[in-house]
Amino acid sequence: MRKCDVLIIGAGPAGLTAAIYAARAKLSTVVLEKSKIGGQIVTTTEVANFPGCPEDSGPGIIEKMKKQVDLFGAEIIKEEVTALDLKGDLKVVKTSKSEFEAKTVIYAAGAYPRKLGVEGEKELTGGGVSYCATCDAGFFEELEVYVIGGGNSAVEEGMYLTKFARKVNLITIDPHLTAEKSICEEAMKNEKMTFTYNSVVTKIHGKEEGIVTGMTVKNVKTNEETTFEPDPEDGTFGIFPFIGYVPNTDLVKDILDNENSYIKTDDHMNTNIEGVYAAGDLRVKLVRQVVTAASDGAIAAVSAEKYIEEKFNK
Amino acid sequence: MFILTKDNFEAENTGLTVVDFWNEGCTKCIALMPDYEELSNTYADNFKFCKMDTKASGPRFNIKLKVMGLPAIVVYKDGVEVDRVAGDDASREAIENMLKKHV
Repeated sequence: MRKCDVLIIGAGPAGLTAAIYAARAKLSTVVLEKSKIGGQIVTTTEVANFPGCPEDSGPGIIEKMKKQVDLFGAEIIKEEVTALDLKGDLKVVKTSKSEFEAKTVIYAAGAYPRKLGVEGEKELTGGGVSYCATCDAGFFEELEVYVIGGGNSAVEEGMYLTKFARKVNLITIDPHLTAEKSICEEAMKNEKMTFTYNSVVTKIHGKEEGIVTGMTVKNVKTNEETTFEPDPEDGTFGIFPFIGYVPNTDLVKDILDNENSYIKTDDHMNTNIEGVYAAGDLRVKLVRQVVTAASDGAIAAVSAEKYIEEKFNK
Repeated sequence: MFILTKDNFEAENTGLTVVDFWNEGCTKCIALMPDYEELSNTYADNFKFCKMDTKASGPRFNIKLKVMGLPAIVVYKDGVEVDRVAGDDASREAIENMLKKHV
């Protein structure tokens, strides 16, 4: 059993910022991260709106945050949390390898892209189904690509994909695009883009082959189903779903107050459990950006520091 | 770490081989690489560990290998794919669990 003052779950901008603030306040600080340091922003090549970092990239900003975390002496451990007991004065957090006992927990596990939830999707991730245009666009050079969704991410990523793909067909459940007007206007002007409305994906074909060989789409107005097949010379096409995000809160949503799985906090990032804080994209809030995640992380760390001082050091 | 290319892929992909497909545009792959390198030391006796740049191998070759998304870590036995972890599932833990299955 390892002891620490502040245990942070998630090493995205919220978790890293919380680590910087907590470690700088001389609290023993551990960050647990199940996959990659940096969270969702590391797949963004261009970040133009993080203050003080013009023309930076997701990985660039994260590298600098990580440097500050190291400088102040917080430790990042790459292990996945499997169970938590947050009720007591000392919070117990288990991973597959170790067990931690912490005075405070900052939950900053972020969000992940929402899946379509159809047959073939899971098996064909990496075989033609992708949730990251910047990572995988290159695989679809000169091929056809389907983008699923009609919001800002879908339309913007769709336009990015036209730089690689021969044709990008955007499929949305709505009768029109729901992205911002200026983004839609630009997409409408793009000759490589086509639009299919009132439609949802019901099946992705190719499970046995290990590569996408087709996709069935249903019109929600007429219930008519259509199966798209790739040009025989291509043999395959790409499918990029951008239909929103899901907060990574399965482990805590039965114990922390939430709204549609997003964790509720007050202005100081307090959850309904004393000594437990939430920060970043998994919180109920209006703006989910690097800058607001970092802000949440800083506030959560300061709240944790004050709580430790009151509760344990008096 | 052995560097696989389109030209040496068939000749070098013998026995139990693990291939880390990546390219410079894949930030997730680059973030995962230190973990892959550590695992390649831990399991050096069990597998031949390789990297392959998908940008250099080109779209047609990637289609042939059915690698259409990154990160992708694939286990081959005598040139035939037997297992893979890909996309968001590709964590250090998932890769290690996959390797353990084939040791």
